[in-house]
Amino acid sequence: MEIKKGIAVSPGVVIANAVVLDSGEYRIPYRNVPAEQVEAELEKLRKAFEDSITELNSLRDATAEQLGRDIASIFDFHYGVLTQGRLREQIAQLIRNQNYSAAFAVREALRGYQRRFLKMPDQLLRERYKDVRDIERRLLRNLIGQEHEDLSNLPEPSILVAHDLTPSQSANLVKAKIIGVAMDAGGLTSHTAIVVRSMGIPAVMGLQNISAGVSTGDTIILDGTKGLVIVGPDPEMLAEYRAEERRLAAVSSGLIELRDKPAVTEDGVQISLLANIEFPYEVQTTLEKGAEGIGLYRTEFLYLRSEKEPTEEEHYDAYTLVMRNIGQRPVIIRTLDLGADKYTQSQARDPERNPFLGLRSIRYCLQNLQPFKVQLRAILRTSVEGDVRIMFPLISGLMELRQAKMALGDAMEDLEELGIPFRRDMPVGIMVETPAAAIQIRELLRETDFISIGTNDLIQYTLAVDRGNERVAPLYTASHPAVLRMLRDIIREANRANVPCSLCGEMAGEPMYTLFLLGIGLRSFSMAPNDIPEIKKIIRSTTIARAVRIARRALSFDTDRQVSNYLRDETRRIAPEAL
Amino acid sequence: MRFVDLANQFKAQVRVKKGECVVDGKNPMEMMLLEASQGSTMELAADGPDAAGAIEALAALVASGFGEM
Repeated sequence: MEIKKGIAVSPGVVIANAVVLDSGEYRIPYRNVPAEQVEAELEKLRKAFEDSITELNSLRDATAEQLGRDIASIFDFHYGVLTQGRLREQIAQLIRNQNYSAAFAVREALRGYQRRFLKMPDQLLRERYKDVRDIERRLLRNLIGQEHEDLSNLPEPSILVAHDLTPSQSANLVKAKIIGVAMDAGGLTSHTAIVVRSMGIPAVMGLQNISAGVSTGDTIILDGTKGLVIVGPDPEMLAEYRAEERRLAAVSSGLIELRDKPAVTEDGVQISLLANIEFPYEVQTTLEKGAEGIGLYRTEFLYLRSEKEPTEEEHYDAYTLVMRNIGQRPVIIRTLDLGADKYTQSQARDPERNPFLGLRSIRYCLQNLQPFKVQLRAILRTSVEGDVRIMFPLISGLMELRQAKMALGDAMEDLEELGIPFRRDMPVGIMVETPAAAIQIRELLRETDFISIGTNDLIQYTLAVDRGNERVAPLYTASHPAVLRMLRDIIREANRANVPCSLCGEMAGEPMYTLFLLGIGLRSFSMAPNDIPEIKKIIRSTTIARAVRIARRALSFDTDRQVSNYLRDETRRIAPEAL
Repeated sequence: MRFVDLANQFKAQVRVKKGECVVDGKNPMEMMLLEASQGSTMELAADGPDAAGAIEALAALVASGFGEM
C-alpha cells in the first residue's frame, strides 16, 4: 500500500482500477531476454511494426478526410520511417546481437535518432525529433501498452492516471467511463481541474510521479476531498473508504432534496445561483442541481476540439443547443477567452515569454476581428432564442470595452444587411478580472449592463501568483486581505450603480467564502453545477445580518491565515459537513 | 522525401555519402540527418540487381535540382 499526497482539486471519493494514460515514458518491462526467446521478440517486433503501419494508414485517411491532404501529410514521414529503409532490420539486429527485448531495442534505436536530430543546427530539422519520439511511442504502445490512449472503450468505470492532460484530452473524458483523475502535474485552477470539477469527477493533481508508480489495473482509492491517492490499499483501508464512499453518497442525496427549495436566506433575501458550464450537454446537470440559469458559458471548447477555427454555424449550433434545453432562464455567453494556459501557447510558433500578460482573451479577439465577429454574429443570432447575454472577458480599460462593443455593432450591421433577426437590446457585460478593471470599476459600470467578477484571474493578477505553477500555488488564496477589500469595493460600487453583479470564479463554489460574499452584498453566484446544492444549503442557514457581521470581521484581519481560519470556523458552525 | 521514395522503388541497397558521412539512402531519417543542402556534393552508391538503374534515376532526380530535404 502506498499513500500519495497531492492537491485536492475536485472533491469526492472513488475506488476503482487505474487506467494509466501514456505519459511519454513507457516503462520497459525488461531489458534483455534469454537466447531462446529471441525469435519470439523478433515476432513481437514484426507485429508491432505491422500494427503501427495499419494505425498510421487509418490515421492518415481519417485526417485527410477531416482536415485535408496537407495536414495528413505529416504522417507521411512516420509512415516512411516504418515502411522504408531498414529501421526494422536495424532493431532486429539489436535483438539478435545484444539479446535486447524488442521494446528495449526499439527505444535504443529511436532514442539514438532523436539525439541525432536534436544536434542538428537547423531549427526545423531539430524539431523532427518529436516525430521520431512519436514513432517510438507508437511502436512501444503496440509492443507493451494495452491501448492506453484509447479511453473510449474502457470495460468498466476507472480512475485515470496521467502525467498531464491536454485540454482536448480532458474534453474527451466526457465520453469515457472515467470516475476519477490523478495527475502528476496541474493545480487547483488549471484548465483540466476546472473541467473535471464541472463534470463532478473527483480529482487529485500535483502528485509529481503518480503516473510512473501505477500500472493499469492497480486498485486505487482516490480521495479528491483530502487530496490523497492510495495505491494498492490494504483491506482495512479499503473497508474504511468503502464506508466513506457510502457516507458521501448519503450526503449528496440529502443535498439533492434541496434542489427545488429556493436559495433564500433565513431573513428572506433571495439569492441567485447560476451555473458555469463548458459544454452544451452540461445543461442537464445544471438543471438537476437547481441552477436558475447559466452565469458563465465558456466557449473555448469550440476552438479546442479541432485545429480549425469554428465556423459561424458551429458556434450557432452549440449556443442554440443550450438555449433549447434551458427554456427562458438566462444564459451568459462569454466570448473567446483563449490564451495563456489554454492551447494557444502550445500551438504557437513563437511562444510568448509571459503569456498571462500577453495576447490572450479579449486582446486576442480585438487583434483578430474576423474570427471574433464570426462568434459575435452567432451569439447575436442566438439572442432571439431566449434570454441570451454576452460577456467580454479580461477587460482592462474603457477603450477595450468600447472596441469590443464596436465589433458587436459591426456584427449587428452584418446581420441587418442579411435580414437575419437578432435582439438589439441583448445585455452586454464584462468580466472584472484585472486589478485595473477593479480599480476603475465606477467608470466601467457606466458603460456595461452587468458585471461578473472572475476571481481566478483577479486573484492571480492581484497577488502576482501563477495559479498553475505548483511552486507558488500555495500563495494563491482568495483569503488575502487585498483580495477581500477589492471584492468589497467592486460589489459596493456595482450595487450603488444598480448594475447586476455576479461572481463566477472558483470562489463562488467554495463554501467557506459564501458567508463573506453575502456579507459584502453579493446576491448572485455562478459556479460549477455540482457546487450549487452545498452553497444553497449555507445560504438557507444564515441571515444577511449575520453574514454582514462575519464579512466585517473578516475584513479586519491582516493576514490570509487569520481570514481563512475565521471563515472556516464560521462556516463550520452552520454547515459542519461542508468543509 | 522524393529521393527516399524513389530509392525504395529499387531492390538495390542505396548508399549516400556526403563528406565523412555515409547513410542508407532508403531510410528517411538517415537522409534527413545527412542534411544535404543545395550546392553540396553527394556520392551515390548502389549494390544489387538493379543498381545501375537506381543510380541513373537517383542521379537524374538530384541533378534536376528537386531542392527538397
